[in-house]
Amino acid sequence: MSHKVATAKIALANIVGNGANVAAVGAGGEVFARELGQTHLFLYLNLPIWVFFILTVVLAAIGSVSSLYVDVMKEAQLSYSQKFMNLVMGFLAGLIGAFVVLPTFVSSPTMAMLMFTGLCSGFAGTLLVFNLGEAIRSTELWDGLRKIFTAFTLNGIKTMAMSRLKLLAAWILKGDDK
Amino acid sequence: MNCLYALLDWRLINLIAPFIGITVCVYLLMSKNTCTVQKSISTILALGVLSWLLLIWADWGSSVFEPSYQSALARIIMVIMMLIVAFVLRRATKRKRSLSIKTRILSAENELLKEQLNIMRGKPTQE
Repeated sequence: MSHKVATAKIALANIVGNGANVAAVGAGGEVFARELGQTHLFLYLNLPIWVFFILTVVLAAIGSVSSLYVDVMKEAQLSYSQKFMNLVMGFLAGLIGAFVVLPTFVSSPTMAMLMFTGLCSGFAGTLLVFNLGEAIRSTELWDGLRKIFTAFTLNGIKTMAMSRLKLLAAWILKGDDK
Repeated sequence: MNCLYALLDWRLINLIAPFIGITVCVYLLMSKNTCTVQKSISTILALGVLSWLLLIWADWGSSVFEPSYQSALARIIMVIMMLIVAFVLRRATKRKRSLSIKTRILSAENELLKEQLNIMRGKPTQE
């Protein structure tokens, strides 16, 4: 009988705990919603913060779409899926720039700065992601880099090491310290 | 006159310079009169947009950055550099277009001359 009481107690404690968790999550959500609803003065209008956040997302999308009119994207002859992937990557770059990088560097950014950052980083991010992808895929670039590396680094080190070894050999054999 | 003095204030110039820089970069990327097909050029201009954006962050959001005569002068010089880049790109684009038009005309003349030569030799033309 006693073990049944203990089980009931544990079950009751679990139920109460779960209820408390749900209440805490609900309260957290309510607090979050209230924080999103607080107003901010912009152009003499007291607008809620979520409006600025949505505008930032929209501006990041506009920035990434407007990068399609840049010469390098127009001339690339991409398929629709490739274009879409580039736009999505640029859009994500805009969102990361506005909602992750900006708050990291600036402790209390203004809403105008947030929206402008979304627009600019969406635009520049699409171009940079596209160019970076092309550079990674380009075999010509990697061949050139490899040639530069071997010409300037490995050969340079080899020549320098050989000249030092020759000097050392000359010093040991002849006593010449030049 | 007071308005002119206010416009020439170095603090105002310091604030305005990044916006001019971003405008020039975006104009160069979007304009039909400047060819930015080369990936290196488009990368430089996109990075230029980001660097001017970081200067805007410093002006409007940083608690430690204090503008000075030196920073304002450096920004003016950077804007002048951007304008020179814009000038060079426009001129190169114009030259490239005129060269491509000349090449097209020359290749058309070449084809015409080949046809005339074939007619003179009595060979049948392609048509």
